[in-house]
Amino acid sequence: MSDTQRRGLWFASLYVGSIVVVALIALLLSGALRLL
Amino acid sequence: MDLPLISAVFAAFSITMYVLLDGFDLGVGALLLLQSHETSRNHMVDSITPTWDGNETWLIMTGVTLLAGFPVAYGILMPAFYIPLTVMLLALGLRGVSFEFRAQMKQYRQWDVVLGIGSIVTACMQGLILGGLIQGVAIRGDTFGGSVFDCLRTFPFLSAACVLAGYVVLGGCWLYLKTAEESRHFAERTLRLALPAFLILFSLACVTAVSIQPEVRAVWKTHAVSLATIVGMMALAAVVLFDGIGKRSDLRPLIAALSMVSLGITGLAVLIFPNIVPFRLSLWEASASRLSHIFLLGGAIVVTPVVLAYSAFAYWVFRGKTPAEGWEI
Repeated sequence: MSDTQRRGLWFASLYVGSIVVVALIALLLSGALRLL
Repeated sequence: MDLPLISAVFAAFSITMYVLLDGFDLGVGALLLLQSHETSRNHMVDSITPTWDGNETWLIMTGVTLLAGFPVAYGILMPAFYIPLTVMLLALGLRGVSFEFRAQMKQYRQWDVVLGIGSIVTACMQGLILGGLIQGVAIRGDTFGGSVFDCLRTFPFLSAACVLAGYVVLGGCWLYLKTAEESRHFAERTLRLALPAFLILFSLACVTAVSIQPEVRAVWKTHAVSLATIVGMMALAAVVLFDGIGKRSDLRPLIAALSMVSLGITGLAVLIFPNIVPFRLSLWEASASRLSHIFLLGGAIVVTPVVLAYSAFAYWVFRGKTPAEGWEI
């Protein structure tokens, strides 16, 4: 795996992870999961 | 630790939060121009009044991250986009003024037009910047080497229309969630038109980007699987959204629209990474000193939870349907 690919994986993991965590917190706080 | 990478993740996170959150209130603002009933327009504005200004915090955080973490990129991108950035900031100011004046002066019709125009202009300027980034920014050494008019070409205008349509979809979904009766029916009608319009414009923009920018073509070859997966998931989200219009769940269209737009931004990140000035300058070439990143990320660690907390609090306090008579009861 090249250096750019390794960095890309880190970027993707951190970026997607942060968005997913915020989305889950928002869904849990709003009780939206029940509304779906 | 790779601090420029972490700062770039923070910048990507901030701009995503901005697009998702301010996107729907810009969309609602744009839709004001299509709604002739004053009562419905008041209802629409009431649905975004408590949170619109907090949503813009994320734009400031993105700008600050770019300035502090990647000053070379900031120095190149600012002059490249002087025109759309200046017009966008003026339009955002106009929106703020119209929110205040419509409430104080009770001249709803006039200020709703100003709010609508401000929202449309803001969305279009952001689209021009996005289009300008994808078509490529001319660089000479470490400085901008093109003309300020480079972003006023066909592709950036197509991108502006696409961003506006995307925001209108988000705005329609927000109204679908937060309003009832006439405004909700209006949102339904809007979504049935705006979603196909957005998908057509998005497809056109993708095809045009591939034809005008060889680097986009190259990334499609090297990351075919991940980009195809993202586009497939976007299409799935669009189907879920369209199918959810008129159904019982008020929230499903908004979640589908937010997912669709998030996936679009993720695709853009795949196209651009590891560059910060697309296809020209990498994160590490444009990076500030290690100390700047430590200062920046230290601030981000403190400020981000505060912004998330007050945003969550505002959305929680004003949860549920917007009352027909407004929040001031």
